[in-house]
Amino acid sequence: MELQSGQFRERVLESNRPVLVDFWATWCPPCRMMKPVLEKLAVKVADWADIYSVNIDRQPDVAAEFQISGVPTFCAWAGGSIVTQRTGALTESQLLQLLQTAREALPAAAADDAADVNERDWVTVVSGLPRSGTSLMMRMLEAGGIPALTDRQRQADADNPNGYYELEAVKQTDTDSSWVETAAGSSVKMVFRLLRHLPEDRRYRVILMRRDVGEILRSQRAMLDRNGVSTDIADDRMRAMIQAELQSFYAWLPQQSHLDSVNVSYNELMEDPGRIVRQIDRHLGGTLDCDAMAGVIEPQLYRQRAA
Amino acid sequence: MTNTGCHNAGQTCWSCPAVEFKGHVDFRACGQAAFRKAAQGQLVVECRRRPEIGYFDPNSITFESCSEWKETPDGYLLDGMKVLILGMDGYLGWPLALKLARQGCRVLGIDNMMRRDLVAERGADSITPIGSMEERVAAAREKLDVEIEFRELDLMDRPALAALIEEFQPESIVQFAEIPSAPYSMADVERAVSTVQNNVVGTLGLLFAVRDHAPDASIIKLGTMGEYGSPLTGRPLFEGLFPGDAVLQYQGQEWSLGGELTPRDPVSFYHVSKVQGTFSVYEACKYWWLRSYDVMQGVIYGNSSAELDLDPAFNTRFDIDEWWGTVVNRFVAQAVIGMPLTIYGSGSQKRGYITLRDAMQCITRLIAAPPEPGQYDVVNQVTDVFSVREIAQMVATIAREFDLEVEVQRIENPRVESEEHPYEVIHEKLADRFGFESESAFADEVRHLFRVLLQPEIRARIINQQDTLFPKTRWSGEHGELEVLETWKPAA
Repeated sequence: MELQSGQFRERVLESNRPVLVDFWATWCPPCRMMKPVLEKLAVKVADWADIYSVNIDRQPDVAAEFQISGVPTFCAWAGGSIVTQRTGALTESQLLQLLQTAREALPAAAADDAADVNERDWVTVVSGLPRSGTSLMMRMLEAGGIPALTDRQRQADADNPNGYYELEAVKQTDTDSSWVETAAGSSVKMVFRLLRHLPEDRRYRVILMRRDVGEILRSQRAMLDRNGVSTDIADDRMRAMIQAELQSFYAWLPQQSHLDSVNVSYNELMEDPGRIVRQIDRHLGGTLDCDAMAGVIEPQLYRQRAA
Repeated sequence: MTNTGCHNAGQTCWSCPAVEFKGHVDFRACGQAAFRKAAQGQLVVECRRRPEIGYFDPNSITFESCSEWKETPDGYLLDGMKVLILGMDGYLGWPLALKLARQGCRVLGIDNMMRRDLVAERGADSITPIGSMEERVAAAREKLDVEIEFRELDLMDRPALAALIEEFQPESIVQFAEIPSAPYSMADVERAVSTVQNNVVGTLGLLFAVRDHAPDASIIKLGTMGEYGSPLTGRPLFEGLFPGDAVLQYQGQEWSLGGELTPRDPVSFYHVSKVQGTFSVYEACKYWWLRSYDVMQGVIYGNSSAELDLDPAFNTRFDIDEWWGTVVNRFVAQAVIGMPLTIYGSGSQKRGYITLRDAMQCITRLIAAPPEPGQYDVVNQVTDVFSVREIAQMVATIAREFDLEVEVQRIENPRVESEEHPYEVIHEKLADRFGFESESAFADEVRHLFRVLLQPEIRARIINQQDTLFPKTRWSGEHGELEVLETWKPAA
């Protein structure tokens, strides 16, 4: 994610997680080519590290302060100082290595910070775009030991044969968020737009489901077709709209101190449930029944796979 | 978020050629010293067209929201954008001038008229009659109500070129002024030298003139897919630069190749000149913050576009001889006069192809979405990959619709090239980033060609120069007739 002017201190220097910063420029072909690689890696390491980019032409003061003498330069930060850095395009595994070096350099206490909070105080929120696997995640959490807060008003159907795990009251969060009072220790599903309305005096653990937008669109279209609803908006237009909205959301989310989020790739979850479930468990405090969670995954539900 | 979905709606003043960067701009290349004085602050711009706005953040205005950019079928175009077309008299230059002028660009073209002489030297001429540049410009004025400006000027006349660029202040520059023939460059030393001189030195001189007089103009540089060659390993032909996740592994170590230029393996001295052009442009972007799209174009065919189809007075030149023609155009001409379609060697050589109409759309879309300062990028401008044998078969099949019985002939390959090879072309950027959608399919374009070339006066012109169709130029330098290996009538 691109750091804006003035965010560097809070996001990088004051972070208690390993941070990788990519100093880049628009006129540098390797820098441009590294973008998708960094985005992919950011999702993979989302539960323990952050990756940010700094455009040296837009923030020359930052680049000068850290004596960036070439681009792309990748610096790994831990506890406010640079642990290691390299200039020139790197492979994904080399980038990961930088972050791991930073992780080893972090004081142990900081890493364990999250575990100190009392399990029962948290509200676990499952969010993402529609059709990104949120219902599935709700079922997994239920199996793993976090009860789901749901009224089961929306019935299971061909699109979600195991139920939607929704709570009607959640949909009115922007006007009435009193349901939150009953939600500590439970998990609840909500559309990502509503996260902005959660009362800030509580702490939430957000599981953000991410899925290839093309797949989401296909799944959505299949669902609309089954329900006889037609839409005139072309897929590419829809994709652009969704992506723009997501981008602003992804920029907003990490700035919220009451929301502790973890990204879960739907596609990776399907490919390697065991590994992803262990990551989720670590993020949620390490008390879940991982085997039961992985057992919930039924690959036959994974119908709209990207070609 | 954008409302129109145009490919360039979200681009900002960062890449607009109508703004001037203010404050400290230093020229640095990747991996080279990038120190900048901290006190300089961020870059700001001033709009040459709307100076009343003052200095502002170049990210704050998108093309979509700027009153100077107008929506067209090929994306937003800077209203009255000043486009300099180098080589406007050529096969591509003229249709592009018509298209851009019609979309509201202010077009100025130059040409030294060399192509007409070179084709005449071969004993050939454009198969579709073309007027003088003055006649063409007059026709455009009369029938399209557009003013295209033309000046006869040689790209090699560097002082004149620099003066022209200083005077016109182009916002986009299309470099089509190169000698475009592989066999010509292999014919003898004089022609090889002439090709390299014109193409390499001409482009180099252009880059200096742009640096000095119009550094914010985007340069659309025409390259060719032939720069890549056809690697026998089957390595994909990426779009000029390796993708970010390309990795080189050797002796247990690994390195990223992301963003590096992919290997070039040109297939004639003409292609060598194009590779050199690629490097010159790449370096100029690095050293001077120039900006360029390097277009690796497939073999072009056809003679149709929205403008060309309006009136024969708009005809672009159409060559079919061994040196200046390209394969699809030549096959149709051969079919029209009952001459066997000549395949070199096995005919399994695969190449990328694109119609003239689609190529013009691509170039227009690139002009509409200029690169950012210092950005060098490459697109593979190709819609289809065919083997020569497949093309012969398709042309023969379509010829039957016109009651023409066509033979195909394999002849000894005059070129030095691999005849059996894998060929995987990556061509995604134009569709993904520039909104390109093909408007013309092979069969339709070839049918259109048959209709044009079967007109009696055009057919007579082909018959007149049929001796120029059969190849004579060998890459080896040897002389003598090429041997016919096999002749057959393709099955229906």
